Amino acid sequence: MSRRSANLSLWLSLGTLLAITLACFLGSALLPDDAGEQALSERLRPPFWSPDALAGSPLGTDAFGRDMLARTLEGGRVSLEVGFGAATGAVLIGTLLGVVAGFWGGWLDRIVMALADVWLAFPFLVIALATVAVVGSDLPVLIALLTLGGWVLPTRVTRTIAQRVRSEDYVVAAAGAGASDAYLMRRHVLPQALPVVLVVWSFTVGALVVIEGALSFLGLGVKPPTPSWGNIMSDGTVYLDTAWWIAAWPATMIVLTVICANGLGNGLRRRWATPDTSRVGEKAAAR
Amino acid sequence: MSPVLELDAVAKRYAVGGRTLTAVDGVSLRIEAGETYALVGESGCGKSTLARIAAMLGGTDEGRVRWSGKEVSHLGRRRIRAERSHTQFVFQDPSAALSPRMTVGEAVAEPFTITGRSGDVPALLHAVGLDEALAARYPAQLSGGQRQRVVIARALALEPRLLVLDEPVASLDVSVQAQVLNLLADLQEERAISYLLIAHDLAVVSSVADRIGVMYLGRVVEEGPATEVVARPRHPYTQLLIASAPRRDPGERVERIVVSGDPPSPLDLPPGCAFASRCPAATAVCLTQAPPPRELDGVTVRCHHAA
Repeated sequence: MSRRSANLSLWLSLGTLLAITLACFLGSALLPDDAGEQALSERLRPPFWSPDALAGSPLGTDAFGRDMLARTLEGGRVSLEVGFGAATGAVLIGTLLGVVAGFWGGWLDRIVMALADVWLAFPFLVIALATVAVVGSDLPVLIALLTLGGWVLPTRVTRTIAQRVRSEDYVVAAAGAGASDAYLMRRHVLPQALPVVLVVWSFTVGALVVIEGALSFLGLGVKPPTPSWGNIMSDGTVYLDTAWWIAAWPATMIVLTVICANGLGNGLRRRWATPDTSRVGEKAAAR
Repeated sequence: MSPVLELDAVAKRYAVGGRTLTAVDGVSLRIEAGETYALVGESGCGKSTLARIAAMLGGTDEGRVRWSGKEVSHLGRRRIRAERSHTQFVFQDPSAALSPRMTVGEAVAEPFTITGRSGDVPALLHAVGLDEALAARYPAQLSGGQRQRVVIARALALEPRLLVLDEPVASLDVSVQAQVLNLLADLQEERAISYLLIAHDLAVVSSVADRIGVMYLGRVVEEGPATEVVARPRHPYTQLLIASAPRRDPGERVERIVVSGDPPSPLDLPPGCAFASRCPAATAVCLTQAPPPRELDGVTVRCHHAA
């Protein structure tokens, strides 16, 4: 891909992602139609292009007569809260662990890396299902769970960077002037890790929005009546042949969000092309 | 007054696939205030390892390191940080020694940031012959010689008593090498600072060094005043080094010393003299007995046959 089109896809992804986020967070607050408000007389009304469409509900209504536009935006707010929150948590934890493990090495590094290997050996969805079955699926629980789902990639990537930077001559020089390890990590390792961490964060948002959708679709994620893209889709599957739009809107939003998150990650990776960032791309692709 | 640097039988060994590689094998040396001590030897002889030991950037397995009389080799990582301003290190490759993300000004000020001391960055840049306007530039915008001057300025920031210079001019153009060596000589005159100068090129060091130590396979085989060592090398290896240096006058007749054989593996040092396998003067005793250090006219030599 040429540099120009790579830049275009970066800005397009970023713009769309921002638009989706703003719409979900502001839209659910601004829209007059409350997402939970039922109107049983107006059940399963089709979207605006159909002659049967209901004025004021351009995306149609669901089986309880609730406005699909309001529900898609409100559900998006919940899904994105989980996705952004968990991705941010995963990247924070992963960066901390990776930088410290890579910089200090030794037994700490071996423990962290062994944990990462063991963690990857378990199928995450099974762990998630078991956890939700035991402790329930409140929003904080989901965010914590998905944070655990995403910590390995940022840990591994930042560890590699810390290992490399630690032995650079200019870091040895700073140590030779009396710098503490904390100073070296903060002033030399973190700035080098930051671009890569942002790339990993974008990819992780995409991956976690999908996992949240899958969990909620299985009825183990966000519980109705709180909408999320996953549980709206789950509700809609019953009506696929009569009212396909119920499942179609959240599904479209998930696909769009994931494409944009990956596009953003890829775009940033190309923009800050370094050996570290290209390795992230390979790892993310391998997943 | 105690010497600025004193190494007492320091040794460094690495485990390589179950065997032991001896990089530095019981080296002792002392550097007095204002003195330049040059350590020469071929690649892999352990001189860079020794340089890092002298600056306490790499640990020792045996022996002691004293900075102006204070033993630092036994100090823990935390306690040695308080002593570090005594000795600063100048790296071979100035491009790697400067962070690509820090401006020249930030790099030179970094020792102040780290130690909390205050200092004058423009004055340091002037001291190494750089314009203070360069402070806003990034290393990539400088020439190799300018970068090495920045590295030297940073090393001077904490007013060290000793600079360890690991091949400071080896990566520079020949025309720039002389400039940097002159700068180092001027700085020494102004600041009464001592140098441990690591080099592989006797021609580079003979003009600036007060004393020269010649290293071969982890040991100092000959050590003495620079003029004496260069004028009358006593160890066959030193003779070989001097004979192989390029001459100013291509017509000059030089007695060629032909060596054959390979140096022994540092993983498997012979019981006798380490140079015996290549030495033109080697006899039976060289293969069985390690030569002890001998003092000849102020020069210490490890050779059975030196006279």
